[in-house]
Amino acid sequence: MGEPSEEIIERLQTQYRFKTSTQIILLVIFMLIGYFALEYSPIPMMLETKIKVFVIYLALIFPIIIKTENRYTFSIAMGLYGAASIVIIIWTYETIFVAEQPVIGLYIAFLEIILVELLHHIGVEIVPRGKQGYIVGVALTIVFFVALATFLIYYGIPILILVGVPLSLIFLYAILPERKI
Amino acid sequence: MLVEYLIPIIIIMFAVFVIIGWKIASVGSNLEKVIDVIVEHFIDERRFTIAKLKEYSDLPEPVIEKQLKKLVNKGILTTSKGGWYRLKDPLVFLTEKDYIRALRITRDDNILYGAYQHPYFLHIYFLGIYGLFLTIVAFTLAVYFNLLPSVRAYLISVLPGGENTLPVFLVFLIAFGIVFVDALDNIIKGWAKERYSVIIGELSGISYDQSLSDELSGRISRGHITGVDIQISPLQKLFNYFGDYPIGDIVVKVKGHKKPIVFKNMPYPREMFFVIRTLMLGSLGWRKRHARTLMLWRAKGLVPSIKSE
Repeated sequence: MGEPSEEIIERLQTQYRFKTSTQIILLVIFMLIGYFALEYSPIPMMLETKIKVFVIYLALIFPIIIKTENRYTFSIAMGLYGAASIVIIIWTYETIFVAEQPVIGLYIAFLEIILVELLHHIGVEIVPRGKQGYIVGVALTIVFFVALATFLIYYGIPILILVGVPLSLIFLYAILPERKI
Repeated sequence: MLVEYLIPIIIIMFAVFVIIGWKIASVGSNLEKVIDVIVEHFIDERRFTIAKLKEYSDLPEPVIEKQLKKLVNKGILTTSKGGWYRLKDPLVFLTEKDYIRALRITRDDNILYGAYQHPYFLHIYFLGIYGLFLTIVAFTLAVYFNLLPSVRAYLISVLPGGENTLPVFLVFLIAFGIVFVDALDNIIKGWAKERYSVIIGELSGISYDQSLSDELSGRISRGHITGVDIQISPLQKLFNYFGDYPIGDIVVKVKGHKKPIVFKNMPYPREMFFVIRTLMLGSLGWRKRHARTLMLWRAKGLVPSIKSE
């Protein structure tokens, strides 16, 4: 065995993961699988829908497959997040959005969850550690609670409190900064 | 939306967020300068103050303080009363509370590696996280495609707006499933590593918790380590390829013990293995040589390019 010093630093992260070239090949394979799955899908889809699904699919698989951590891969992951976010907003607005009072709140709560969790998926903590993090966390939770309340108020104040408060607390707990290791 | 509009919007958003990502991932020259001063002058010091750092840096005190705060938030430095800072070794992943506990119990030893073993991690994790989420998705799809007609009819009857509201409610259900799974992920990880600390000290050897309420009662002194080995199961290997951080089991053979002691699902097992090996060999040179790279890695979560020596 060689001197441990070099091995410690060289083996940091990289030895556990696939080689960068293998990661890229895997990504291309998964992209092709996604493409063919959409192209030959039994559910008929318009070209716009296929593009939207593909962009979201790519934003989801990229951080899972590409484990080489550097400024380039992080920037690409962020770019895919931006692209997937706008696609989700456009798509859901076009297909499921109903301009009625209670549903608008539910839709906003849905978008907030998806955008925060997608950011979390690519490894960005929207809520940083420390005081600032708690302020951001509480502000996001208040937005979530108000959005949810506009839907739950339809069922009355007791249901709003019994359902809205626990769901908001779960939301807050989920977005608080966590230690990965 | 038409493809002619959709594609340019996607490209613009991609480009804007690539630029944002590029800015976020930059280390920052001030942070780099502060790290350089710490590595060059204070790596072997027990503790230091901002005033001491200022002697070796041309940065103003508030700027140094801001950078030190960042390093504290990233878990690289720890603070104590009187404005003292202390450098943690880069392979110490303990919480502030557990780090102080480790220092107290090892009598202020130089802690080279500190992390939590996750004895039950993988099975509970995969079952809890993916099992639950897949159940929520399956339920939602079953309701949407009318495979559960009574549930669908009930939801339509109670939702304001009836059938029009159902799709929004179902996508919200999936989204909240993600939040619930994320919260559960926090609980499982928090619970799994609650007190199963494993600490490797320069002089104290390996100290570890044997139960949830333990206070590092497990001890293996340096001289009693007769062998060390890494074991990575196929499930751990799969997790390492695609998971957040690598894990593996570390097997330590101890003089006088028939059975080796196994530390389950340790983060960065190869690094832990080499720390134990260096402890056995009594060589800590790697720590000094690679401190800068390791600190930058911990500060940004990104591995900087490594120059081979």
